[in-house]
Amino acid sequence: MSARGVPQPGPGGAGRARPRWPYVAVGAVLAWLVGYPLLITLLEALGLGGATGSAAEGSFREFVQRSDEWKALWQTLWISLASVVTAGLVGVPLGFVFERADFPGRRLLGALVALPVALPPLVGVIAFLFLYGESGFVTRAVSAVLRLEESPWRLDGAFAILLVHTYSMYVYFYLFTRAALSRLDAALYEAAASLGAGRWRILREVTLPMLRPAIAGAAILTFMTSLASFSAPYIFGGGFRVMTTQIFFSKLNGDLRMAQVETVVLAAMALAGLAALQWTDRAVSTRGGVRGIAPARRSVGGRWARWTAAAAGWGLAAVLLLPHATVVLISFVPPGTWTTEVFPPELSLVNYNAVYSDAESLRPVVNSLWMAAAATLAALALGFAAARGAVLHRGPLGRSLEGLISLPWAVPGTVFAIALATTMGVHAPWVGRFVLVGTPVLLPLAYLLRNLPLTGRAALSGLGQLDPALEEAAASLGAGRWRTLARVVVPLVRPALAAGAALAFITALGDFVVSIVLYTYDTRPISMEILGALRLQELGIAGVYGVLLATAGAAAFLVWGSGEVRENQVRT
Amino acid sequence: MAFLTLESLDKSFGDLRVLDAISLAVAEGEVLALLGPSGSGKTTLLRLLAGFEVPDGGRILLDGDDVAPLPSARRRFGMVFQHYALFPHLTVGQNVAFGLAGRKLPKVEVGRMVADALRQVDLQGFEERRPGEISGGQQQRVALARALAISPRVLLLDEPLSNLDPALRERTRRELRTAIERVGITTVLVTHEQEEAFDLGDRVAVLHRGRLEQVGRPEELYERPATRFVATFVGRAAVLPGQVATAEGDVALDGAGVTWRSPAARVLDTGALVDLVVRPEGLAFVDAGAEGAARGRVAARRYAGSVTLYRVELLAPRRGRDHGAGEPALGDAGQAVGTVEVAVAERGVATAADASAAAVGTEVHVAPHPEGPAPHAFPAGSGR
Repeated sequence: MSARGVPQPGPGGAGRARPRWPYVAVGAVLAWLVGYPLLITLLEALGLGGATGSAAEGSFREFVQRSDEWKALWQTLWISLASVVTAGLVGVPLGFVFERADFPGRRLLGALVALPVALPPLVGVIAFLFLYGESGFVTRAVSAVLRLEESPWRLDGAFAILLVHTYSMYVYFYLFTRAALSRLDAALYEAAASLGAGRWRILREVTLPMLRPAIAGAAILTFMTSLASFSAPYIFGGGFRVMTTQIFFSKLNGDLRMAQVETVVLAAMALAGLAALQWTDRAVSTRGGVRGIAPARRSVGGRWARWTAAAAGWGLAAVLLLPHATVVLISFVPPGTWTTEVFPPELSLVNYNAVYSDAESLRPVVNSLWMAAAATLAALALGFAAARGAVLHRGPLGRSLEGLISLPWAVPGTVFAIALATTMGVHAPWVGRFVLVGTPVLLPLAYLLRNLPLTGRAALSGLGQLDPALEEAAASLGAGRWRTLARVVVPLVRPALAAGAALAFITALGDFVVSIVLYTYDTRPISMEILGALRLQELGIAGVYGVLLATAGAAAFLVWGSGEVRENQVRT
Repeated sequence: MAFLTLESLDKSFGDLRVLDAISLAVAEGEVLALLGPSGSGKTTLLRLLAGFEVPDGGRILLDGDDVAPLPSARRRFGMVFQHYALFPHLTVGQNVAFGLAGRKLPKVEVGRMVADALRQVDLQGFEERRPGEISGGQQQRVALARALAISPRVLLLDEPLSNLDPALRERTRRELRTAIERVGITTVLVTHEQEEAFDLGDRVAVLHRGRLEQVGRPEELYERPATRFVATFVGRAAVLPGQVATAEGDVALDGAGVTWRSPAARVLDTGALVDLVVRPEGLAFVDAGAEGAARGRVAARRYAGSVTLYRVELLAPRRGRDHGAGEPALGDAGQAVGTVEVAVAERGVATAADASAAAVGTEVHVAPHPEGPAPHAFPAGSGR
């Protein structure tokens, strides 16, 4: 080999004067956007924000003394831990089945099973409402079969939240397990088998220990997602309060100070989760020796066994996709036609016509589309710039840029909503605070903030995989900085960028948690319209909006998947 | 006059000094090979030439102009990267045309130049292929064609053959040499393989720990190494401690009770402690009584095709037999005082002593071969 042993500077060579100032500027913008609102909120919650200090101090004391706050805190914690367990119980076995067994339709089903990750949480929530709610399909069917006068159960409280969490979060376990299994070396199994270990012992002593980092990663991801979950607790929670809904209702009741204190507490919990995740990540990366070829899929033997496996697989997929199928069906049910029957007696396009022919009903769609598009484009530009800075200038600057683009991922949306409402409700331009509350700018800005980790991390992974020699080759062939960027760097990371942008767009399009705190009538997004339709018992209308979001989500998921495939091709 | 001149180039990464006052001159059309082990700084030196790193001090003169301040993009030094760095999203033709884009040439002209460049590396008609669709050897040639297409002033090759399997390496090396000769371009290449450096380089510069040890034609390096490092890094060699015994360059080997003659020892003072570097083909098996015959024992035997290499542990002379009566015994009779390698040509085994030496454990006598490279003496401790 060559002098690779010596510490090499970043691509292009640190010496070949890559200017730092553009990235310092990007970092400053990010710090203002991401870090500053959180800081302001912390300061105000502590009473250091210039407002009356004693009142804030009082808020903290009040928080500690109130039993309902402790209860919400405890409920947040246990519902998040329980979600980890239930999602793991569904996701890990599913991952084994789809990675290890082979049966007809495995590839297609394997992709479908991962779909809930791309669907806006609110759509999942209304899907459950339509399916298992008091007047849902399953509820009606069970009532009809058992000839009950009223519905056999009520979909509310902790059980309902847990059900929805399990449904939307098992995908983390499923994807992580599959990825880890596909990386395991078949030689490990052969070695264990040659040493006399049976199937169960291999599973217990070889496979599961090797999967531990992946499962731990999925567990923390699930934990943090549950911590930030708002849609399910808001719609199904009833009297069961978690921190996100607690914050929302404090704000709704006009007690912004208490909302700030609660926000700080929730943010602290989330950051502790992030620290745990990073610790696990490091533990994973220190593990070596995972190389070689993954074991071949065991083709399920015998014709009957194959078809049974296929039927089970398809059945499972049906159960998992049923909620979304229900949303589609409900969108075709005309208002007032479905009363006591098990199946809706009448289906028509009347709801679609109602939405698409009325400018006022279409307004939220237009709002969501432009705000999501604007936020995604801005997040793409900012995320790419920050990621490039992080790759080119390793060291304090790079680490800060990387931290700033990752931070909004860990911090719950409710926290950012309150932080932005706090920071951008004051006119003080000399300290970087502008009145944006009530303007059409605030919501896209909040979306941008939430999108930043998706586009930024995608750009980071794309740029990180780029061989530095490619840029050097372009330079040695006479290409300047901009031409290298346009002809070599961007085309090669485009699949990663497209994947990140697709996820960012759909996240913003279906956002509920930030919107409910920051929207105005003029900027009301699709999610708020769904909520409004549910309140008015216009289930069909809510269904139409839900179908719209689900379709966009599925499309984004396809872009995301194909992006990953192309990315792999570039790497080889 | 030198075409490319490096003047006392320095480069450090943090506290680590990677290059220390490197000065070199390359003539126009000459092929210079930078040879050295891992971490010797040869790749960093190449990257300084390419403009990917900036020297801490010193100048890089091309035809009299200092190019060190120029960014890579304006230097017009064609480079072939170790892993080729072909753009995976572009076709072979687009890769080769990449460097021509800035020149605002008509499309037809670019197409012709691309075809020319590909013809130079025997890849006519490969324009539409993708880098992922061609073999490693072909990728290497595309990388070469891409570098040559910009009519570079200097061609830089970073470990050009290290990515190929041994069978392909030999052939590609021949093709590479043919292509370079055909273009007649000034070339600097980096390699850690002596054979590659000797085969491709008109001259070879040996680097060690960031310093230039020696520059010269391959035979100079081999026969007249300037330092102990060069002597041992270039070709196989054993190092034996000794002392200059006469002004004619006779060196008494420590513990072995014999003297071997080294022309390089003539310039050293009598009595000076030296390291004697001996090459396997510079030694032969001899009869016990022959001049300079050192007693030894065959420790290992390795058949290497055209020659067989014997590892021989040198032993102290036997008491009272090899030496005059009354002379004190030197060392313990059974303990090795040094180890050398002896190469024996597989064809035409010369003497009975050669034939009998075949078995491991046999006692043998070795002495410098009159027709082989003479032992080379360096002042003791001078080798780094």
